[in-house]
Amino acid sequence: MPSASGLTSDQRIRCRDRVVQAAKLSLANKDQVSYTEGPKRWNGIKNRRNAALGQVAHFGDCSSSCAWWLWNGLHLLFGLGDVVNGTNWTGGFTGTMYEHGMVVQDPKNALRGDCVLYGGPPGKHVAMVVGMTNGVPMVISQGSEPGPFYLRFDYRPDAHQIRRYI
Amino acid sequence: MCDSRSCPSPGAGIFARERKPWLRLPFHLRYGRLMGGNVGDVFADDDPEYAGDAAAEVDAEVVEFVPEDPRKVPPDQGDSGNADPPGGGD
Repeated sequence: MPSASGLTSDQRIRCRDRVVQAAKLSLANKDQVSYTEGPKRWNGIKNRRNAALGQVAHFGDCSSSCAWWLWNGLHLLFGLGDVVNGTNWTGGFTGTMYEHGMVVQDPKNALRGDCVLYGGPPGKHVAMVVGMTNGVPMVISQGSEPGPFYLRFDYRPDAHQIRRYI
Repeated sequence: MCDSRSCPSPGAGIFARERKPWLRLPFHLRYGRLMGGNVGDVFADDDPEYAGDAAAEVDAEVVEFVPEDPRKVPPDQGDSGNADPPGGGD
């Protein structure tokens, strides 16, 4: 069965590198990132902010931030369509993220770029896996104005599902 | 007979759970499988396509950031709850 994105193994490695670089860029420049659930949350994609060039997306909520991080790898690097929300990269939320990608049942099988969804469908929050520490997925989460934050994936008690889009 | 100072075990357990919120999670959420997918979902765990990917992730530990203490992080504000298209501009 093809991967969630259709990319080959080598391409997925490069894609994950780019996606995680985008997430870390947001984390390292959190003073330039504002939390919003308004339309501006899609500016990162709309304005084609390229994390590889050091361009931060200045607005975002949890799902639009994850979408922008993934878009940097899936679309900017490989020109792929919207396999995350199915809206041609023009919108989305946790509910549409639940409807796309593949499920990772065991957290120890998580890979960088996977997304942890909190709360059952349609979801309350989402964060991105950016690495593993002692076998525990670590996430970057953009859930409030002081964010993003770097945390264990189970920092909230309602971690419900991990999904893969790469 | 020990009191709370001299008998560390019960108190230590409570202390650990207060310090580490994930310890309050059910075992299957902490160390086992999360909830399965929706009807029609495809599972990546046993997909041979991804068999080699984990090997490429051996250096996936994040060294440049220190994890936040979840107790000191403001509550997440939630998701927008809709998929509206982009509208603003910066």
